[in-house]
Amino acid sequence: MDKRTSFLRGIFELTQSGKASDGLREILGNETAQQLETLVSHERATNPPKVAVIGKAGVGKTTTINNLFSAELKVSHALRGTSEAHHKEYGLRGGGVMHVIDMPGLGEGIAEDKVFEEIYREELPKVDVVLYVMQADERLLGEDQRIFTDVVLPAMRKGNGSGKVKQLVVGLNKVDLMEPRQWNTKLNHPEPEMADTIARRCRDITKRLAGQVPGLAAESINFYSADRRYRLDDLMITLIGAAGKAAWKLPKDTADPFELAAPEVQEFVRKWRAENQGG
Amino acid sequence: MRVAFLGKCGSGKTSLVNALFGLDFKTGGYAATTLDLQREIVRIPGMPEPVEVVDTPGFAESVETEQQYRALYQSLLPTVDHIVWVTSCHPRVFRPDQEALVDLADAIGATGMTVVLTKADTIGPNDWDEAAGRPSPGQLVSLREQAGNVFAKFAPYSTALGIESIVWCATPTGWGLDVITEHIRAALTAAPAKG
Repeated sequence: MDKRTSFLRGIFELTQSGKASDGLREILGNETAQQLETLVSHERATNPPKVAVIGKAGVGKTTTINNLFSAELKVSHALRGTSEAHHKEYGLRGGGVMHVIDMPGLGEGIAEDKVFEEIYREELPKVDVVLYVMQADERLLGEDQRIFTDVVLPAMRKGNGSGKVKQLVVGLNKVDLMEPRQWNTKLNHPEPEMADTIARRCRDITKRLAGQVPGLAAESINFYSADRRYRLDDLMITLIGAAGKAAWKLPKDTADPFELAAPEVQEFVRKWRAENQGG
Repeated sequence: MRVAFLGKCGSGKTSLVNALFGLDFKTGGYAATTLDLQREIVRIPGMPEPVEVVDTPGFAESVETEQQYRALYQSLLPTVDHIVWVTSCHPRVFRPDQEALVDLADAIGATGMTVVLTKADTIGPNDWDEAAGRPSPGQLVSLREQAGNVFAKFAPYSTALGIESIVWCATPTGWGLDVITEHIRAALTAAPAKG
């Protein structure tokens, strides 16, 4: 981070409190304070934190991206359409921009992987966060182990110069499809027995990947369902936290937690807010 | 005669074997399941001789188990008269199948192969015809497409496989099982005896 950026970051953090903001306005005058504010929001939108979404083919990377970032918040379309890695920038609720790279899925075939792994080696060292998506109702962990060993870990080490894999986020998608399927559609939540199945699966994955990703804890596996929009907000918070130095460019408050509830619950919340919070 | 069932873990091999031959082999959950070969002698309608069915542990489950499983397949495959290669009709991940075909090319030799796509009832657009107990027209289109896709993935690594050897089924509903049995019967009848 250069000095200018760290100055703007400092101002941003300082002015999160209204009091500091007023004090600064007194010292600088209204016009300069306004300019500074513009600079800060501009900086928050430039060089946004980069997240690469990776994993085997068919695990739901694109669905995850589409549902993690509401379509209407998209600020730009594919920045690079010719490559197999699709770059997009999304404006987030609460300000800030995230640069998301939808990577091609691995494991489709030996010939395809030759091409795709090259793209991984090129893109991964340049990102702030790697989101590795897995699929809960599928068991081909041998392929994930191979991908970590051969592709992901070497590329990430190259990126941050140390052996530590701190900006890796593991997501477990499609938990709603696990068997025995006991999904409470009204609460959009697994029934207790299914929750146990999901927890066991997280522990099993941790055990399997222990050789490849040392220190991966079952609690740090972000399980979710992109289709059902279940726990996507939790995943978002994890991603923002993992963005590290660049995280100040992102909002803490990412999504309306009631957005994905049953329609009648949403309706209740909407009414309650209208009556109690003045809209 | 002997027929072996192979495929990635979670592809629905064991459920298929059980449904085809009325067996009770142990099926998997999400953790490792079939660690050894499961064998049974069965009768296939239209075949005078009994047939031995062999179910194998699924591959690509983990790098730790893979070597052990490969050794198992290596010693089994030269002794079988037909191979049924099972894959679910959804996944797009076929690298493990290709790697297995490469590693096992010698063990497979000229042995005939049927490829079965399982879970046809859940393929997109996911509108299985419950009343008729068969795939919707849209699902049939997807299945044919997926058969072509699987053929393209397998063909470079398996010279013996023809597109007509790719069949599909929905195990829990029973749909398609008769076609698979007929494929196995015809293949075993035509296969040269291995002794």
